[in-house]
Amino acid sequence: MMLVAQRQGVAIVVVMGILLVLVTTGGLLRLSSQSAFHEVDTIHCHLRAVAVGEAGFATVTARLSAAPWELRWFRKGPELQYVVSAAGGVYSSLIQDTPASIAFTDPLLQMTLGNPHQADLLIRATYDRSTVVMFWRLTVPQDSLESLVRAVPSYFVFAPNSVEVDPRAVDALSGQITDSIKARGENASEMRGLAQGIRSATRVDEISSLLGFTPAQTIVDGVVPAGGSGVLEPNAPRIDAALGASTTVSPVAPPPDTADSPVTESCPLPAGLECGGPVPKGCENPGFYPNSIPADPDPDQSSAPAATQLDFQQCVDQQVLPRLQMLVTCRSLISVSPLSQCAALCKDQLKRAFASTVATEAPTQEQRAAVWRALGLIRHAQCAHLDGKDPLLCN
Amino acid sequence: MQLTFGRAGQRVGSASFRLEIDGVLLRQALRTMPTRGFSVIELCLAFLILGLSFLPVIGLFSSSGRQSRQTADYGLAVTLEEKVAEDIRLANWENTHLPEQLLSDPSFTATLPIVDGQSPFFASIEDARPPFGQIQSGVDPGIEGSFRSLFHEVSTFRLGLSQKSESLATGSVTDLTLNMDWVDYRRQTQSLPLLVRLARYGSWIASPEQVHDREQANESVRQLLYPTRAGQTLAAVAASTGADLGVVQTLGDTAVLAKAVSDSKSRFAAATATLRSAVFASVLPEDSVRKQLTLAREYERQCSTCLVIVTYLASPIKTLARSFDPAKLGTPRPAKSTYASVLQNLDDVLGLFHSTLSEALRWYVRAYNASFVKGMAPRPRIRAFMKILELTKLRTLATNAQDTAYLQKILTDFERHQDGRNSNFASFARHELSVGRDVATLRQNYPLTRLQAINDFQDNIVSAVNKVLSAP
Repeated sequence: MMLVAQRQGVAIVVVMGILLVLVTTGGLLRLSSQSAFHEVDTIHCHLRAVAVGEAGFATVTARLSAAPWELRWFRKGPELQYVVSAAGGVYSSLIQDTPASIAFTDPLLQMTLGNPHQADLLIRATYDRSTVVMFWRLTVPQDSLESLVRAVPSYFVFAPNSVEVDPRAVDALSGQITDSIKARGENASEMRGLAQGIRSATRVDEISSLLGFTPAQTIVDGVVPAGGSGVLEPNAPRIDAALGASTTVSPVAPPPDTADSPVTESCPLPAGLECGGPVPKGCENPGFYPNSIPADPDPDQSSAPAATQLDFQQCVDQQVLPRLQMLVTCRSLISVSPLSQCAALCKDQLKRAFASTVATEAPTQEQRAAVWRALGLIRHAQCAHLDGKDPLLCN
Repeated sequence: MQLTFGRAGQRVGSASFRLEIDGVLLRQALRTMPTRGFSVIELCLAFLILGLSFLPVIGLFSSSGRQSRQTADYGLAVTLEEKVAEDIRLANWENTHLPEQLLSDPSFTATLPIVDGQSPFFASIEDARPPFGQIQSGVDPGIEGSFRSLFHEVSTFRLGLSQKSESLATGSVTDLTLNMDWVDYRRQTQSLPLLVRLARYGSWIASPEQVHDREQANESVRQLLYPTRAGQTLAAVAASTGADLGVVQTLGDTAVLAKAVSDSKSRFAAATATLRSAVFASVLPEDSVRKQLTLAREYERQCSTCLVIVTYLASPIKTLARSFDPAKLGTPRPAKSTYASVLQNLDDVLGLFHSTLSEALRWYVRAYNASFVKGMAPRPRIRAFMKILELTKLRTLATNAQDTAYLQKILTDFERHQDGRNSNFASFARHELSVGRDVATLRQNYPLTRLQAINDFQDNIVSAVNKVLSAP
């Protein structure tokens, strides 16, 4: 009799179930499509709010570009504007002289970032339900000879939405920006040197060494193997772990084909460079790089061949170029087999190469530049492969 | 529930089976069931409910689909429009002639489909044809039929642009309204407008800092012309001597600025000498280029200072040359010794202007050329080019050159290089080439104040100084 009882309303229950599923699915679809629309609309509103802020920025820069700095409208104090309509939204703005100018030792930075004619502009732009706060530091280069004068933004940042259009809030933000610009100026020369090293680096681990961090995991240089594996691999290096100075080194066992070579290995180093020896005459210039020439630790120095008189070209040919060739060999050798005796020999050679190259005199600017490039490469390789422990070179 | 099947002599339908459910014979149960036939009604009812409920459910699905399509179109419109807006903002920064170019070219203002390269903002999007590395308008394709899905997605999208200028308290802006319209799934036209405001850049010459504050400037004049009248204002001194304050100020400003130039010469020389040494001492190419740029910028600053003074003094010099009346200096007049020596050196400012202009140009060119070989970042290099261009224009006009050959050469090279790489720069170069096709056109398009001031100063300096110094 239970069957009889269950038969009553079974179809309706099934239908209701189907309906429930359909309604739920439809509702979910609708909800997700509404949500997608909402997302797109939110992005749209945000972009519009940015466009409102940009409109405010254009207004200010047009005004700044139209009159001499000494006649600027905010010369007597911060100028605030509230709820100005633009681009379908509204913005409030504050512009004031930059509280403190920064003194840079670098003349070019002083002329640009240290220009005394600077203003801080904060714009809080709103479109529909989106609000963005934008901050610019503007420079008006009055001492420029351009036929059209333009206010140049030297710094821009999206400020937190909590920042109000208020002189105190802008002062606080401005202080942070000033510190940031100052730090940028102070780091500039070091960064330029670093950038130069990175430009010449060809492997990710070289770059990471230059930047002073060690990735947590093995870095895979995805180079297509010689001979071709038939599989297309990315030709750009791939870093598996997130990069950061605080990452710890996880020791990775070398694969069998790159394990340390036996002691009896043969080193593919160019002949005649095994010892530093005295610097040939004509290549000497003790004053060229004073206080930085490391003492030659070679105990066999006395048995080195007698010094000969060389002109610069010979000096480069005989001293600098072979060392560069050796450097290339050593870089690949050390990176493949870092603990081998051959690598140790390379490291020693690198030290010697630096020592004798810094003592090389270059009569013309171009030649000196060539030697310095060689020095940069050698130094780069040394710092990278000697774990940055050489205080003379790597500090 | 227990089902029992078995042969029992009783027939259920044509089969001779016995079916028991929980011990009750099925046949008996069916016969005794009071709701026999209700399942049909029930089914009908269920189908009715299902059918009736299906309509809103289908509607739900349908509206969800509609909204998805609407979202997709809307998202595309926002993305495409924002791309154009960003292009325009950047282009206005790089190319100061952009608003005029947009206005003068009807292809920018007409509402055109973005496919098939019809809209100039989407003329070429794919670097499909050699030379690779350059997207060339008219050579490389826009959104063509070969990009099937993209073409299908945006085939109804059209972009139009309108603009209007607005004057501000100082300066002006151009408001561009981008209007993207498209046909949606209901075959209705939707549109999404976006306003982009572009700053227009002005031209002016600042006044020398020595005269920003009139009171302070008057005190400087008083100190120079009337050193013995300490504690009195210039106005009081002029009143007490019966001098015309305007004439005293004119002469005084000229003398004060001449002294400033004279004093600054050694400072300029020292600054540039230091930078020059730094250039020659630098061995790394990047460092050398940077130092060259610094030196060029320093020369530019010096040149700009001279130009500011020349511009400010052009009118007073002209006045002194034409209508200097020593009697208006009152009695007793300021001692000639107080201003004679500085005025005699006033023409130095013009010499300094020309020499620093040439030097600035020379060093910018050197840095630019060196950076071509040594790989300077593209943006600074473009900036260096813009400096070279501006200085060349100024030098051509300030020296009254007979032709614009050099200007045309560098612009032609630049245009050729940028064509296919950055259409905005190429367009800028073409505009500049048309402006610089001859000296007369270049002069016509250059800020007149500067040129007039340089010419006035040049024409009147000697006679003005002579007139002042030869006055009894």
